[in-house]
Amino acid sequence: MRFKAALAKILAPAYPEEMGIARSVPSGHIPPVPRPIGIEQYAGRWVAVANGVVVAAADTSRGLARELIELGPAAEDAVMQFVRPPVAGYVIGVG
Amino acid sequence: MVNSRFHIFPWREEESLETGKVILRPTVDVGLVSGSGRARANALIDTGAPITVFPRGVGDRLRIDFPPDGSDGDEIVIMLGHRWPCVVKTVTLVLPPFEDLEWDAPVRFSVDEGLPFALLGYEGFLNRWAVSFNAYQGYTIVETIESFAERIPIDPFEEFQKGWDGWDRPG
Repeated sequence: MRFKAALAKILAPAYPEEMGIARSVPSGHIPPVPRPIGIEQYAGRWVAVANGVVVAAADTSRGLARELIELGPAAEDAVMQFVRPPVAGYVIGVG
Repeated sequence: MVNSRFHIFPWREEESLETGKVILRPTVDVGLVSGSGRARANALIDTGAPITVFPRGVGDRLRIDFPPDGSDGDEIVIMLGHRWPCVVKTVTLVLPPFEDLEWDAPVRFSVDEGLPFALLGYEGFLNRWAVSFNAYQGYTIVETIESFAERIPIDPFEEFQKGWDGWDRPG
């Protein structure tokens, strides 16, 4: 009986199939997404990244927007982001 | 299972301390559309933010009309200890890979340059999706409300209503 109960527990999914089989013990850790290679050289600036490559950079977000508009459709999917320079302390809360 | 729609977003390396320690944050790439303007930007999922905010350049990319520099805009938002005049604009948001589930929401765009991040807060993002953080295993799950409801064995609202007779205001 104990075997049957244990087997039933293993086989019974706690979540829809797409969510994976429920596990009693966490099964690992997803590594974080690394920053694009070489992005450090843009510290303090705004960049647009497409497929992991910096396709445009500017000192301000407004300047970056102008660059992207000039690049046209080729830069349509580029992701705008600010490259924070190394900071002395943790930045938490924005209020 | 038909309605099960979710996506796993791993935590991301966003910046580093001067010591070299890398800081991880739950950020995603989100798309914005306003008229003929389109933009994509890195944004932090911020459970502590009551609104959704983007920097000036993202608004420019969308060709949003801004008042002159130094104007108060439509609203003042206080972030990082500064007062940021903002323009409020309803735009269409898209979160890949949910391209077919775009939604409209009011977004604040900073009038002034200098805001170094975008925030996806309660209004505009968290009130549109079910979001689960699992930093222990390194990811955030964003899913549709229907998907969330399907995988939870009870109806949280029904459970909440059991024996509930209204809130007692503290004090």
